[in-house]
Amino acid sequence: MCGTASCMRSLEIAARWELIVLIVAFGAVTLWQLVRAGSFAGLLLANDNKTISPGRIQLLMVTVLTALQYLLATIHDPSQFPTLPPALVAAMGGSQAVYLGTKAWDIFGPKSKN
Amino acid sequence: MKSEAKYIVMGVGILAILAALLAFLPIDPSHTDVAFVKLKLATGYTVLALIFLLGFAVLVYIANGRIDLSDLLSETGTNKASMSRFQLLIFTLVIALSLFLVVVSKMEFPPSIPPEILTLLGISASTYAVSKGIQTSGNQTTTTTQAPDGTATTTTTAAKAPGA
Repeated sequence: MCGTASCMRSLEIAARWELIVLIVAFGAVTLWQLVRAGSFAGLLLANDNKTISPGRIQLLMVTVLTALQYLLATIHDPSQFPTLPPALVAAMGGSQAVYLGTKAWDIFGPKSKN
Repeated sequence: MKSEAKYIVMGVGILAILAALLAFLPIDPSHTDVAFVKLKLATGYTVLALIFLLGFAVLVYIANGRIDLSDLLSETGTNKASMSRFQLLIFTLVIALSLFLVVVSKMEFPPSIPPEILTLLGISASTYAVSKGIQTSGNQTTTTTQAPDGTATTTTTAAKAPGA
């Protein structure tokens, strides 16, 4: 029979690994399903489905870079939430505004009315 | 037997095994603290097993397509991926994963969430909402027709526009 502290420690380790395994498995299965369903098709195409959209490309780059930077900072020091530089948050807001502007222009602009 | 019922039976079976273990454990009445420790451990492992079974069942449903995720990234009615949905998904996942790592690292919930994170999530969700509004407005075409008596009639019809 194990001691009280070591038994509780084993339970804690088991709970931690179970959650890690479940979260990784959920991520992998979700990604696999999205790729299989072709959900990423046309992610970078403009509204006319023929040309590459610069607004979408810049948003994709800023999104992926910000998310990666944040994730790596958390993995580097998981004892607390990493702080984001205000300039990065402002850049993120600007990027989203540009994306929305190009999208609105694509839909409501003079070219789409022709 | 329906597959949902199988999981319920499995859970009831685990609880029954736990009850049997507790009933037949040789416990000395003078050592109630040991009995409580055994009870805590048995309950803890049972809860872990139930959570694992529940998660595994959901995983199996996602993998065999019974829980359909194909519309997670694409707008309703189109097969084209939506950038606004994609960025919202990415930020939500990254911040949820960070929260999980922080909680697992310290084994306690963080006392405060940095305002930058909340701002980031707010920007991301607002972009999704505005994008949805633009898309919905774009899908509606407004036509104005003039009747012979001079009265103008404006009709708004929904048309399917590509992209998101």
